[in-house]
Amino acid sequence: MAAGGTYTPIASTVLSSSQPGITFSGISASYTDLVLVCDGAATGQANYELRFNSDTTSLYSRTFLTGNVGGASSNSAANQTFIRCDFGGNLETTFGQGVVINIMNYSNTSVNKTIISRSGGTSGVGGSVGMWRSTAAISTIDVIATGANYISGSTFSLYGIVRA
Amino acid sequence: MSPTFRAGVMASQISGHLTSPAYESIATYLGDNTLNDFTLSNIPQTYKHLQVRITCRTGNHAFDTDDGLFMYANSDANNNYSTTYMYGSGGSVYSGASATQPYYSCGSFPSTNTTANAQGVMIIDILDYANTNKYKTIKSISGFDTNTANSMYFIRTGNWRSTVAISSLKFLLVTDGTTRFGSNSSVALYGIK
Repeated sequence: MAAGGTYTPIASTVLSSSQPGITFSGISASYTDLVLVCDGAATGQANYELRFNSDTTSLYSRTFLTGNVGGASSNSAANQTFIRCDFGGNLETTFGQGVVINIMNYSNTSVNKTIISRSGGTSGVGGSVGMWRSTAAISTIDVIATGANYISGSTFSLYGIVRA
Repeated sequence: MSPTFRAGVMASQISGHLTSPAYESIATYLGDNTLNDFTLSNIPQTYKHLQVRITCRTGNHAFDTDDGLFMYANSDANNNYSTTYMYGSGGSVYSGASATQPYYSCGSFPSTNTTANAQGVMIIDILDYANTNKYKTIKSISGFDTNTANSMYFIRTGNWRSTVAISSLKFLLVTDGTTRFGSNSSVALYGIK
């Protein structure tokens, strides 16, 4: 069996001021999967939303599963302009809600791109799966807080995993 | 209003690869639409945990829009597995548990009968797999989105009731014997120290 170290840090940032989003660009195609870890808060109602390669068309879809003290629910949304990656609750204005997003097979130019996430915070727990209906390799990731800003101190880290 | 991006990180600004030795690639099976099952064997006992990362679209299945995946430790097909699960599909949530099963039921993948080029994904963690003093705990997330209400998100945990160290993992697509791991599918095994 082949073996080799992987799970490589690609880029990471800590916001020093409120921002409506962050962009990871120039992503190498040399990995198999990407892992994006976001731990932030927002100035108002916002979520962790992804776009790839600056595509703002309605080629995204997602399904999430969420639970909190009120019960559990699920929802699917087709033909979206982004993938909402958290469990469905809004970000808090204080820290305590994060998400780990796996962007699988991101550089394969024969398949659509699928993400899967786990997330949680003080208002709930859950995860989501989403698809970008494009076979293009992902080289740019926008993390968007539609309608609000991520606050100072929010962290965003991107890792790459290579299979044997 | 389109957001503006005032913060950004250029990946190209990072020099070198800061490889972590704690997470290592062990082996990968690449699907080519020929196999219904395969086994990753001779798994080293030098890690603390295992992780399996899968992307898959099944082939050669004429009917269903998705196909299930089963996993066996050390080729054990006796009723030594159990699973508890919750999943969401469309607007509904389901949960349940299956005791005394002959396999760990991992989740399901889209077949060629659904949205073109859509793939399912799965991440399975096998905890303390080499410990000979306790049963093995398995947890996984999986799902697929096909831009339809038939999309699914799964979260599962399970148990293999054996104290034997895991040295092989067999993966089997639904038991009809004809479904294949399609082209561009991959099952990648990693070790975590």
